Amino acid sequence: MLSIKNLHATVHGKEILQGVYLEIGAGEVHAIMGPNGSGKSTLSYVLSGREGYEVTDGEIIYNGKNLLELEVHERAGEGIFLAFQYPVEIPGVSSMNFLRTSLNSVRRYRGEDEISAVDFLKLVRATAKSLEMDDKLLQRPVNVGFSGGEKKRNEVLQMSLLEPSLAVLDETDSGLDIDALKAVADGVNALRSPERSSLVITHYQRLLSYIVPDYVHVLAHGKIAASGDKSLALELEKNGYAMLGLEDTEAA
Amino acid sequence: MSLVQPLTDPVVKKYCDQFAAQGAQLPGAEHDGIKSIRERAQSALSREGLPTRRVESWKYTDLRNLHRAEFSSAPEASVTQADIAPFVIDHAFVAVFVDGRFVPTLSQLDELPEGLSFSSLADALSDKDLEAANGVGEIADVDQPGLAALNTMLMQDGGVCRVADNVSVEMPIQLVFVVTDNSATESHLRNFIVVGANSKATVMQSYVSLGASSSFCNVVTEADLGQGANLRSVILQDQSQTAWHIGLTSVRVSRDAHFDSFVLSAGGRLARNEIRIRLDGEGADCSLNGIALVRDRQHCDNTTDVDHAMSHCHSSQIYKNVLDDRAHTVFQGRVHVAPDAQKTDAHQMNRNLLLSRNAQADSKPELIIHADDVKCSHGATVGDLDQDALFYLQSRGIDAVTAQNMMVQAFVAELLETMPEDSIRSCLEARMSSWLENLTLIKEAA
Repeated sequence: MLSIKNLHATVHGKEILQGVYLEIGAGEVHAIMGPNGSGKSTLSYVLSGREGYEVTDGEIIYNGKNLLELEVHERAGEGIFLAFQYPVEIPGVSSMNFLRTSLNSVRRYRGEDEISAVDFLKLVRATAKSLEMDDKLLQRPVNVGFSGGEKKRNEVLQMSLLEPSLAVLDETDSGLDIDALKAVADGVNALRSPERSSLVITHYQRLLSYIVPDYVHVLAHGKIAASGDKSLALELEKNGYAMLGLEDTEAA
Repeated sequence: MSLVQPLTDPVVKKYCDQFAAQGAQLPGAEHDGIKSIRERAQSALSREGLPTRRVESWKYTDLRNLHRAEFSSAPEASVTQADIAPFVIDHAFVAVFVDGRFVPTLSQLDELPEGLSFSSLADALSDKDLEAANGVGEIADVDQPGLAALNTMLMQDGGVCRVADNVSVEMPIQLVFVVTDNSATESHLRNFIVVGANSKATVMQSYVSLGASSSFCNVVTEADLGQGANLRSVILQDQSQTAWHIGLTSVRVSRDAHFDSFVLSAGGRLARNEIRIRLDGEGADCSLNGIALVRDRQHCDNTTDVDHAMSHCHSSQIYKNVLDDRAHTVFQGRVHVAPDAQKTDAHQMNRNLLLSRNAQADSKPELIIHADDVKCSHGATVGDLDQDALFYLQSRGIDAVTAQNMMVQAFVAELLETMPEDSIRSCLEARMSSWLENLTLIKEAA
């Protein structure tokens, strides 16, 4: 499904990714862990096509397509969804207008009919309810006045509406209390299916107790330094990144 | 101090010659009162001339190209209801002016409610309805120089709306000023609006073009609000991009009265929308809002002057500009608080969104405060689109152009949302959307 080969990427002229190899099959959940500054977030931005993240070498093939040739919105249409570490507040843009424009854009890209206003409203309400999210929040502009937890739930709400084939969760656990963490994890797990894959980027093992990965990789110095199954995450939790000879810049 | 050397200014001379030649045909020529107003304006114009950039309030707006252009008064043009239809809002009383002349057959003024009267200025100044013109020239001081004096000297037509005391006019009154594609015509329009005590009205002025006319439209609107009166003024300035539009709205707001203004300026090669308010009684209140949408080499100047003459008055101003290409906007907001105007509450904000690194926004607040117990604030911002927000929208499948349009719309949305009249709001929103449709390219902003 996703095949990353020898990926090199620079940000502001500085090489952050220095030859990443990663294969994700359909239905698999992969976790990427690693110390701060190892390039985890850069990888998520390169996957989604953010401006300023320049790929200097290597390739990313997604469902047979060269991802690097696609615009940001086309990648979303192809089924890649990035749950942001820090979701952006957009004053003046109503949440409902945003969600509907987003959903219909993706539907059009996939050759599906646009959703009617009535069906859309029903769908959003039902999805918000399943995430234990107050749908009054959606009367506000996008993410404006949302708490950290509410923003993350809003990310999962968008993910549930867009039904991506690859969800990239960038430090989704950061800043979440345990209830919000569980609600977010439940939302992600509800989307798990033999066709859908996830790439969970996290510093800590905590989230991986709720979203259990099939594979765990450690990214360090812009490369995958180690790979294993979920037990690798537990070992890291116990012994720290030092067990791989890495310095953890963040005191855990 | 003289602004220019008027005696030797050929532009002033040209206009004065025009007045000498055509004065007898202007409405009200047979009335001494009207004649004297025009002559006073002429002497103000001859004495002070027309403003140049050396005048503080015209520092950022250069009229030299306007003065170089040649204009003529327009011949009668045949305009049909179908030509006008796109500009007319639903559920309104409509007065249509073509090339500066009132056209009753295109207007919808039947069944005006009791307490509301309308006449054209030309009719009012002539014998037909002279009482309606009572007070013209009192709000916009006829002795003040510049384009207002030019307007007073040559005023030809416009809308005169009078609302009696204790009347609430529910339907908006729309004055539609259409310029046909006759090349290079000029018109000097004067609107006069009187809202009686405790009365309420909404007047929208639409300035539009049929075709690409290089017309010059010089408008003065006077409004007089009685005690406790409420007037909403909406101006849509949407003439062709080759037109010149100079507008002055002069308002006297009496005790406990409320004046609400909204200006959407999207047309013209050069447009100036100036508003002068005198808060003339305790508890008087004004709210001045505006949006300018400009591209290519358009120039749009919003200049306000709020005179807090009495205590316990409130004024708020929010002006937002969206600039593309090499466009230029000017916001000058002057607030004057008189020595006795204690408990004044005056706020002003100008925000500019630059979509191109070649666009230029000038913003100049000017607070002159002579009282000590007041709350006054001002602010100005200039910025480009939030790149993080654009990426966020795009990452949700929304293409770059749509994302950009959503962001621009968001920037100005708060000002349109507060418009209570649906017909006016949807008219302005439609204009906004059509402007956005032509915004296709994201350029790297400054």
